[in-house]
This record gives sequence, structure tokens and C-alpha cells, in this order.
Amino acid sequence: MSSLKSRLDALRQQGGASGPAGAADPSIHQRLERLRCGTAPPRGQRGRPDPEALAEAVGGVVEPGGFVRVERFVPWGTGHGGQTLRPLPALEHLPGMYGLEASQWVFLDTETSGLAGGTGTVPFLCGFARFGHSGLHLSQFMLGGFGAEAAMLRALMDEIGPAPTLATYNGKSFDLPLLRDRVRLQGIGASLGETGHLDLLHPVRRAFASRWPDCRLATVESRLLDYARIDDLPGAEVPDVWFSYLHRGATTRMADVVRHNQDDLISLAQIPPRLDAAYADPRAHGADIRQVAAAHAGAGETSRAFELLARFADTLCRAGQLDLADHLRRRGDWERACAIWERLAEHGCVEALERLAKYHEHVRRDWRRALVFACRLPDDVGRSRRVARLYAKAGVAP
Amino acid sequence: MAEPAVKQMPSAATDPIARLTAGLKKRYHKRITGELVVPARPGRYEPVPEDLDPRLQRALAARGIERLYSHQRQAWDAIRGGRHTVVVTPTASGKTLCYNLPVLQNALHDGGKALYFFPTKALSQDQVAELMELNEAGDLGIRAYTFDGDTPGDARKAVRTRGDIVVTNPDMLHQGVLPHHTKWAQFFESLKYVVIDEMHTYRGVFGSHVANVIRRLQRICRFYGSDPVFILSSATIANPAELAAELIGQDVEAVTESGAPAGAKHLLLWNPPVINADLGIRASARSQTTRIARLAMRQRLKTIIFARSRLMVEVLTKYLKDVFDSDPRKPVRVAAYRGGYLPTERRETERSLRKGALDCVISTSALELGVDIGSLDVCLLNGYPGTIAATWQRLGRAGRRERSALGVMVATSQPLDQYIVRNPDFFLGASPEHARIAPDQLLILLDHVRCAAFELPFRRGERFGNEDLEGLLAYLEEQGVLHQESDQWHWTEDSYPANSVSLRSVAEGNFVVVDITDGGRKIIAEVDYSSAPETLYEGAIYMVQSSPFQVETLDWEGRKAYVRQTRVDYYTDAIDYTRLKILERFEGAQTGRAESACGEVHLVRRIPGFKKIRYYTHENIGFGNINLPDQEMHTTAAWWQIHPDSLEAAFESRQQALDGFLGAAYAMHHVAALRTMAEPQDLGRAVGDGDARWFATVGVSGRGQMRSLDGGELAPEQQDRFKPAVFLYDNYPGGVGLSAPLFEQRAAVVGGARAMIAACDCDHGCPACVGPILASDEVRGFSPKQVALKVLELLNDEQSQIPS
Repeated sequence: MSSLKSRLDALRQQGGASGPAGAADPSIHQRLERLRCGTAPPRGQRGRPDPEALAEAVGGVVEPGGFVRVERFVPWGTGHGGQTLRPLPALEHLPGMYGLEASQWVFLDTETSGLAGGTGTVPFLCGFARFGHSGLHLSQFMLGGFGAEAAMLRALMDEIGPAPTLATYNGKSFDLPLLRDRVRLQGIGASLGETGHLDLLHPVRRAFASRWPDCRLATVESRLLDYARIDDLPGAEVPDVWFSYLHRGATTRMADVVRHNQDDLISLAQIPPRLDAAYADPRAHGADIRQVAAAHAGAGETSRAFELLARFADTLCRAGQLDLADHLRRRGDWERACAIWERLAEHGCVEALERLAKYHEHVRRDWRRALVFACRLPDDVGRSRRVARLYAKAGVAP
Repeated sequence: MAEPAVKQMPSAATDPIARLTAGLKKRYHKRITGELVVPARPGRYEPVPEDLDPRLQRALAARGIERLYSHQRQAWDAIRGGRHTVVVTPTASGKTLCYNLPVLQNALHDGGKALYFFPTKALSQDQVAELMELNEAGDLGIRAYTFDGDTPGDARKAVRTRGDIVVTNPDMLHQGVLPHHTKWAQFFESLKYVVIDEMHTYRGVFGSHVANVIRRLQRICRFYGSDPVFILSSATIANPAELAAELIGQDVEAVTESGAPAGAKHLLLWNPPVINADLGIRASARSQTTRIARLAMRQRLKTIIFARSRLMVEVLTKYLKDVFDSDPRKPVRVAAYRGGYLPTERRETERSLRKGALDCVISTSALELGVDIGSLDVCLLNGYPGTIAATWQRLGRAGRRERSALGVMVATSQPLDQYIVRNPDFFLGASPEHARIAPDQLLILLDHVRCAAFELPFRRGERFGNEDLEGLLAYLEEQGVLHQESDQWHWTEDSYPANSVSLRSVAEGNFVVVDITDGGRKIIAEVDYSSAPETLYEGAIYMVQSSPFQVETLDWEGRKAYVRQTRVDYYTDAIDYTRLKILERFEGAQTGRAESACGEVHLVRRIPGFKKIRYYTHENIGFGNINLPDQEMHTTAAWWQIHPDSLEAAFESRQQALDGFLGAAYAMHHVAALRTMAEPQDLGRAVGDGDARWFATVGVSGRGQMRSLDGGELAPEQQDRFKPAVFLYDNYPGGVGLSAPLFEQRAAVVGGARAMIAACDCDHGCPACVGPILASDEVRGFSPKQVALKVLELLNDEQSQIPS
């Protein structure tokens, strides 16, 4: 076995890979000397992962099967950035979620061994939060070792599998598919999130993608919840903490991972009311008014959409104004619609010109006025046809 | 397949092919160096199987198929009997039906699924189109989809969950499917057949990787409880059953006798006439090809021309179109075909060919594989395709059932071509090459063990490959990549291993060649770490499909070379300081005056500079410096040496012997590449002292030089010991299994090199035999060709080959 190892070390060196890391071994040294390559410094102390030690470090207990369970209760009145924890009212303004009781949701967030996806990714920490009578209950299940995964997933499915609605942040493309994969790999026949799953990333992105540098949870926290974390473990370092535990039995930073995940869960649980408020008054929350209105329209709430656009008409971008004009048109308010189109047309807006041409042709039946606008359209097949048709109707030679 | 006898040819009076052939032989007999007749073969038929689903029978009938060829029936029986099978019959023999029938039958009756993989996307798409035609003809209701990098995201789920037949390629399987196998659970659970087409392309480094991808595939299938039957299809190579068995790790039954009828074939080997004896320059192959094509087309014979590069395709097309398509009112007779054209254009050309509307198509290797283009009469090869197997495959494109066909291979001035055309017996009597893979190559195996561990944790007692698996797992554990817990090894890295494993290189570090002409950034090629210093140094002329690019910047750490299109009249040749030390001798053989052996070597390579050499005249018009890190490598090699006494007796001076060795090594390198079916860069060559005291290189002046380890020049006469060796080594760390077979063929390598040099028409040496000779005889005082021949004669000593 050692000769296989020394062959591999020597070969990898030549293949352009970086130097090997390994325990001292005379034959390896000889071969490496022969190649005149340096050896990397030996790695630190090896150790074994110990679930009991882990439980102690994070303030939890070891459950049958070898996973660690951590519980924390956050009572009403606890501060979290600019928010104070209190019972969530029913949602009123989030498209597709009107009237939903967010306080019934189970909020879910996982910490994993990597973000690249694929079957080698393991959720070593699954955290979920539920509102109770007096506050928010956080539960976190952590792997004490790979052998505990089946037990952990079963326990998780038992607790949250039947939940009518799961709420996550980016769970649709990450957390849920991952958990489903792991459940399948472990041969557990349970389902997750089939009854209802709401991924809060999507409404956040809809309203804020054009306004914020990104839509990461940390950004939502700081901008919407006014919460700045102190000494938080960066997400990119989380996998390494897990590997250090596995390879060396190191548990100290695991407490940081647990705390990081708890912050994630509490923030997640605070997002619904704040998001609701942003969708009610996008201007006050720095949201993209047009996108919020379009989201309402997409959920069938055209009057809400119109009301928003009309209320903030003077701040709308060109696309927003066109949307408003379309709403007015559908309501039959031609005068106000035209006013918007004409203003936009002065600046050469092609869509406005087209709508004016159509309006004057089909509604007013004023061919000449329609032609005025049609001729200003950019030169293409549609324009030529329209212009020719209008000339024909006007009975005038082009 | 190749019978060197003259059987009955249809008489020239009735058969236009025979007439053309006779005419060529009469008028150009000096250029024809060899010929061969392959006799006609009648069809052998079997009835359609009785248990074939009636819907499939209807589908076949709708396409005019009422009975099967014998090999199609043979394949059906073997596959339905649950035996892994490889079908090795020529092109246009109905190979796809050999696998489509059992697959569709099983899909219709038992809902079984199948995975097909092809080496290119174009072939994948063609295959799906063909399946869809059968599907519609019989109203089968089978769903076949391609799954590759181009499959849009929202379509992927449908393919995974509803596809009956999924068509993909090895790279996608490696990176996109296996590491996400849970998403494919339903598919793997019902997987009954895996179809691997164009199996012969999976050789060398690529084949070694693919064999491991298949190992991972089989492992995943076991996890989901399925055990698919493998169906492979291959062009003719010497060892199809062996290659198939190595690829899938199990025994494979071979179906090799084609039952498809074929007309007689007449093959000519053609060497363009010499037009400058001093420099060994011949007329261009292109001039000959177009001449023969014109004669064929004047007789309205359907012709296909294969060229080796896209550029040459365009050149030949232009010339022939100028002659035959000059009148725009008449229908087009000549068309070009190559990978770069849009799929719709290529489909159009294929249709025209099948209908018989086109008279001549000029193509790259793109038309070598699979696609149905109907029957053609004449096939011209502009240059030797590189392997015997590929040559016969291309020639197989011409041939009808009732009529004979003509194939002509026109040689270019490249050494391989000249060797082939001057050794007609070698080519005509040769079996196609052995395709070899090394699936247990240590670095390749290690990479795939990593990928496999990511897909599913390894369990104690599992087998993967034929090396010590637990040793490999322990190694990875020490690296922190895996974590062992009870009896399993789990993946513990924050990465996706398949992304860092390229199926075409050994170990990380492949260089990409980026074309920055006109402000763009397009990747046009990939170069292995080992070959990069000698091909991608700044100032190098790098050829892609015979188009020259110049390397402007080389980003060594970033593994990128930035190139720009150029129009220069010279090529660049790196000066290679490679010194080898023999570490271990596996096998050897001695004769009275020489010895050869193979084993493990350690080499250090430095590229200090390069020469600029003008085309045709081979003058050295410049020199450049190169400043790149040395490369060290352990690999396997075969080497040849002459006893010092015999050397002394045979040569006037050591300088002569040195030049002889350099010339001999050049020729042997080319012959060896030919015989091992390797790409030129897969094999490296060096001349040096077996104890790494010195090495030899061709200096800027064109004369052989002896250099010490630090690069300083030595005087050969002043050394105590003078025992030079020619080394041919695997150009990949750890070797890829080329050296041992090369050692076995040592006599043929030496003999072939001798024949190549002896038969070369140049006076003193040229790139076709001993290499670009930059110093004249006067400067040297002797002929480089003669000394190279002398070395080879000594090496070829066949009096007593005593193995040692």
C-alpha cells in the first residue's frame, strides 16, 4: 500500500497538481528526493468525530441514531435588528399569498457540505422554526457522523413532513431538492413540501432585484430587517467547519455554525410581514414599483396593480408608465392613457408611438392623425404595412 | 477484408468504374505504387424474428425491410439472450438496426429503458432522428431524447422522467448525469440496455477515461438494482472484442461477419511525382486528387473526397466547383461537408447525396461516421487518414451492390503518407491497428475513484478497477478528500470533482488555446500539460485544422494560450532538451550488436528556444528564446541501444553516430505512432545516454549536439563512455500503455524506419525521412540519411534475438 501511495504522490506532482500532503514515510521521501520536489508540511493532528463532544459544544443532546438535537426558544419581544418578535398577522399584500397565515408556516434552512450540488452534497445541519403561543421555537438537527443521516432525516420528516406549508429562502432550487435526494439515497420513502412550499427568494427578487446589489439573505436582513450580524461565520467557511469536525474531531466552530443557522431562521421568520409591507408601499421600502405592480397583476389583482401605478405615477420609469397607460386603456380611460403616450412619444418612445397610431386608427378612426404617428415608427415590415393601410384608408397617395 | 490477390474484375467494356481504373493505371502507372482488389460479396439474409412486435414489423416494412442481414439477426439473438455484444461490420451495413430492434422491442413489451452514447452531438441528433422515423412508421409511442449541454433547463426534467431512450455523450454522462443520479432514479431502475456506438474512438487516454466512466455507470446501476446489457458497435479494428471487454469490464460476444451485400472494390495507392529531387519535394496531393476527381466526374460517377483539414476541403471544393459548377443555371454538382456547417446545411447535403442529385462531395472525417449518404462509386483520400482502420472505413463509403467501386489514396509529402505509399505490402496486407486503453492507469483511476466517491460512498469490499482500491481510498483520505466511518468512505470536499477531470487528459492542467483574432475570445483547442511547453511558447505557430495561428501570450499559471490568426510562410520547431534516466527495466532483448528494452524512465525536459523554418526550402530564418519551467515526469518508455564497440567499428566519428541516432529517432517516432494508433503527441522521442549523463539535440546550426545536464555543450570525442539510446516514451505521467506493445513490435519499428528512409527520394535528408536538415553535407562532411540508415541497420541486427 505504501508503494501505491508513493507512486501516486510522485505522479500527481508531475501532472501539474500541487504537492501532496501526507504522513512521513521513508520510501516516499526517497522517491520525492529523486524527483527533486519539495514535500508539503504535514497536516495537523488527526482525531475522530464524537457526537457527545459535538452535543456539548453546541448545547444540544445526542438522539438515538447518533444525531444531535438543539432547541432554542425566542420569546415575543426579543429584538432582531430593527424588528421585535411578535405574532405575525395574516398577509395582505403579497401576490399569490393574500390572506395566508404566515404564523402557521414551518421555516426551514439547511447548512451543507458544499454548494455545487450533486449527490456528494450532505446537509449536515437541518434547522426549522415554528411559531408557538409565546414565541418562536427553533429546532436544529445535526449529524454526529455520516451514519446518523438516516435517523436525522427520519426525525426531520416526522416533525415537518406533514406541515401544510414550508417556507424557505432559495429552497426551491437548493434545500428541498437536496433533502429529497438525501431521503431517496437513504431509502426513506417520505415526501417533503408536497402540500405547500413558499420560496421567499422569489417575491424578494421580484421587488428588489433592480434596486439591490444582490438578493442574498444577508442583504435582505440588512436592508429590510435592519439587522447587522456581529461576528457571524461567513457562509463560505461553513463546509470547512464540518470537515474539520469529521477529520479532526474539532467542535469549537460548530457552535458558530449553529448560531449562524439560528440567525438565518429568525430572519426568515421575520421576512413575511416586512415583505408584505414592502408590497403595500413599495416606494417607502425602496422596492421596484413597476415590478410589484406587475406581480399583483400576475396574481389576478389588476385593481391593486393599477392603484399602485397610479399612486406613484410621477416616479415611474418609461416601462412603468406604459404599464399604467395599458391599465388606463383597459379601463377605457383613453384621455389619460393618451396623455401618457403623447408625453412618451415626444421622447421618441416606439411603443407609445405604436399605441397612439393604433388608437387613432381603430378607436378614433382618424387616419391622418394615425399616419402622423405611424410614420415616426422605425422602418420595418410592420411599419410599412401599417402606413400603406392608412394611406389606403385615407384615400391619399403616399 | 484485405486479400492481396487479383480476382475477376468486371470487364472494362461494361463497367465505367473498371474503365476508369484501367485508364488510370495505363496513363499514370508510375504514380501507382500498389493496388488491391476486394472481391464482391453476396448478401446473406435471415428472416425477421417471430417474436418481433407487430408494430416494429410494420415499421420495418414501411421502410422497405422485409428480412434481416445475417449479422443483424445474430446480434438480435445474442442481445435477447442477455449477452453483451459488439457489432463490427462496415459502414452502410445496417448496424444501427442491430441495437435499435432489441431496444425498441424491450421498450414496447416491458417498458425497459435504454441509454445511448455517441462521441459527438451531431451523431446523437442523427440517431434520435432515425429512432423517431421508426417510431412514426410503426406508431410505437416511444420517446427518445438527446441529453447534453444544449438541452434547455426546463426540458431536462422531462428527459429524466419520461424518456424511454436517452441519447448522450461520455462527457455529459461524466459531468451532468452520474453526479446527479438521484434525479435519474426512475431511469436507472428500469435501465435495460446501454448502447455505445463508434466504440473504436474510445482508445488511448480518452478510452481509458471512458472505461472508468462506464465503471461508475455500472456502480450506479447496481445501486438502483439494474444490470443492463451492453451493446457496442465499432469500425474494424484488430481487437474489437478485447477493447469492448476492457471498456465494460465483462466478456463481450463479437458479431464480425457482415451479411450485407457489397460490390467489388478496387484500391490504388498513389504517390504524386517528384518535382524537386534535392529537397525531396513532390507535386501536391491536391493536384492529383482534383485530376482524378475530374476524370471520375466527367464519367458521371458519384465521388466522395476525404480531406484531412477543413481548409483543404474548401480548397478542393473551390477548384472542382470552378470546373463543374461555373454555370449558375445548372444544378449544383459539387458540395462541401464539414463539422462547421449548420446542421440544416448538412442535412440538405446528405439528402441530396441520397437522392443522387450531387455528383461529388468533399468532406473531412465528419462523413466517416454513421450518417447515411447513399451509394457512391469513387472514394478519394487526400492524404493518409492516420490509421489503417480509418482508411478502410472511409474507403467503405464507396460501393454499391451491383457495381464495383474505386478507391484511391493519394499520399502527401508527410512522413507517414510516404511510408504508407512506399510500403504497399505493409498497408495492403496489414490488419487494422489494435486499439488500446489503460483503464487502470493510476492517475486516471484515482480521478474516477474520486468522482465515484462523490456519487456514492464506497463500502468496504467493493471493487472498482484492478488496483488496490482500499489503498487508493486511504490515499484520498489522507488528502482530506474522503472520510472513513465504520465501513464506508464518504466525500468530504466542498467541490464537484467531475468538473476538474477532463476525459481527454491525464491529471489537471490542460491548456486551452484562445483565439483573440479581431477582439474575440474563442476556445479553439486544448493541449495537454506535457505537450504545452513545446507547442504553445510565445511566438510559436500553432496549427488548427491546417490554419496557422501565432501564440501571442502564454499564461502558464492560468493554463491559457492566446493566439491570433496569421499568414506566415514558416513553421516553428522547438528545440528540445530532454534527458532521460532509466529507473527500471521490465523486459529486454539482446542481439550481437544491439539491445532494446522497455521499462520505467524519469525525464526532465527543457525547451530553451525555437527555430523558424521556411516551408518547402526548410531554411532556418530565425530563432527565438523560450523561458518556461522545466518539466519532470515518470513514465514508461521503449529504448534501443548499440554496443559501444560495434558503434566504434561502424562510424568514423562519434559526431556521425550522434547525427545518425537523431535521424533514426525521427523516423522511428513516426513509424511507432503509426503502429500504436496513437496521436503524434501521445508519444515522445529522445536521444541520450541511458544514465542521463548527456542528451542529444539538433542545434540551431542543424548539426547534432551532445549536451550535459545543465545544457552546456560537450564534445562527443572526449567522453569516456559513448552509449547513446533512442527512447520512445509515453507522453503522460505514469504512461498510458503504449511502451510495452511498442517493445513487442521493436523489429517492425526499426525495419519500418529503415524502409522509410531508404525509399525517400531526397538526396540527403528531409522532413519526410530524417527531419528538416539544416546543415548541408559540406558542413557536416557526411550524409545524414546514410548515417541514420547505418544506425538502423545495427539496431535491426536479427541474428540472435535473445530475450533478457
